[in-house]
Amino acid sequence: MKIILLIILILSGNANAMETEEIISRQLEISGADEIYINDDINFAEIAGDLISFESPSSESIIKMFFEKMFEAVRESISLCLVVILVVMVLNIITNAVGNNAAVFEISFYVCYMVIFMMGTVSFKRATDIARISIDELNFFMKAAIPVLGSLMTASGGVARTAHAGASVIAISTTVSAISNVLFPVSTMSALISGVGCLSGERSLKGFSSALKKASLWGLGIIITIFTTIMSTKSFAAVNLDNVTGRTVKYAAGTFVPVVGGMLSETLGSIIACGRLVKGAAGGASVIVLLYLCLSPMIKLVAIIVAYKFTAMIIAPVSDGRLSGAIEEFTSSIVIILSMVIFTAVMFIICAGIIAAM
Amino acid sequence: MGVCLIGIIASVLSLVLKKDRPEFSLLVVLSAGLIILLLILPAARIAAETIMTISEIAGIGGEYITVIIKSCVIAMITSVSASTCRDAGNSALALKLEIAGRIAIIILAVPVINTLFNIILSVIK
Repeated sequence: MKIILLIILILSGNANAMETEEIISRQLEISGADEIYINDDINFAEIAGDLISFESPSSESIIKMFFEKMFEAVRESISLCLVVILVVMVLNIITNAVGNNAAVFEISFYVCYMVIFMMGTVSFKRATDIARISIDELNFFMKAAIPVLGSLMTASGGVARTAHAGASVIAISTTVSAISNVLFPVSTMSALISGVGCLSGERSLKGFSSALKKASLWGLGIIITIFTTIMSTKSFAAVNLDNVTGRTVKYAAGTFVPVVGGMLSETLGSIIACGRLVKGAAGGASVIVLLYLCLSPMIKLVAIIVAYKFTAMIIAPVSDGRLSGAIEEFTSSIVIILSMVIFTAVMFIICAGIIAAM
Repeated sequence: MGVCLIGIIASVLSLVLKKDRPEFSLLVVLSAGLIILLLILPAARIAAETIMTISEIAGIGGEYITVIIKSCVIAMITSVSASTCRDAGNSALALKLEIAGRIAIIILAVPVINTLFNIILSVIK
């Protein structure tokens, strides 16, 4: 008797587990998570599935990927720095060999400065391109992921919250366009102006360029504040509304449907719970994908910054203060660009987290 | 060593000649300068070639390095000839030489300036 009972228990348990898994996989399929294509390395639906079954990607492969990307980025950015160091060295060798008191050497110094300014501008352009592409990728991914998260939200009983997801899409596109259309050009202008300002050796343009830099940082701060405020205040109201709606529906199903009402209400509860699980996993997967997308441009930008700091450090004792000053100005502008990428990524991660947690 | 000897001998000779035949003294100085430059030329070529090889090994745009070396060499030549003119007592001519040198460097740097402006325009757009 006991054995039969046990068998029935195990079977029913298995059946239950099968049912839950089926519900989960069906919900993941219907949500359209399979259709989010990022690139060949990373698959959104797979990550979400792994997260549901508590399988995290192996840390070894992540560390390996991190170092591979870092070395690649350092190798790319070191060549530009070699040019700068070489140009400065050539200039120094020649001017020191003859004596740089002659007025004609000022002109040849300007030529050298132009070459170095060109290198700085090229690498700055590369940095802004990297940042722009990465912000576009983040934006693109978020716009693809929010409908998926929204449909999962509806599946887990959050109708008001789904309406809120639409507002977050608008907030994201406004933020991205503000960053790429206003803040990027402003910081580019500040880098170029400070580069030109260093040529004169006087401080005439320094105030202007630092004002532009501060303006871009302040703009970034204001955008972040507005974005997080919109995201969090809207979600508070929506969560409570949905809780009330969910309870009402469950109560109605349990009370007004005759005979099977209680069972239906329980099934409804389990479907909603599965929906929450899938939504949580999809939110976790979107955070992982966001991290993956912003990691490689961030490594590249950090490599450029490190290489330029290193260059400024090497040439500072052997060169004119104007050259190392210009390189330092470019470095600080690239740091601002990097901070824009980081802030965008953090904002999107907060957004995905809020949606997943609701 | 030879360069130093030539310099010292020429300056002593010009000092001796200055009292009786000042024009010969100037000629001595000029020819000594020419000889010194000619002696140094192979060494300068080796230095320039070394810098070019380094830039090639580093795998970087040789054209800018060439422009920089050329502009520095023009500056050197101009300052040497201008100081020779000053020695001969023609400081006005020396000034004109320097102006000519600057203009030559600017003309040499025209491609660099063009590239720079194009890059800046592409960044701003």
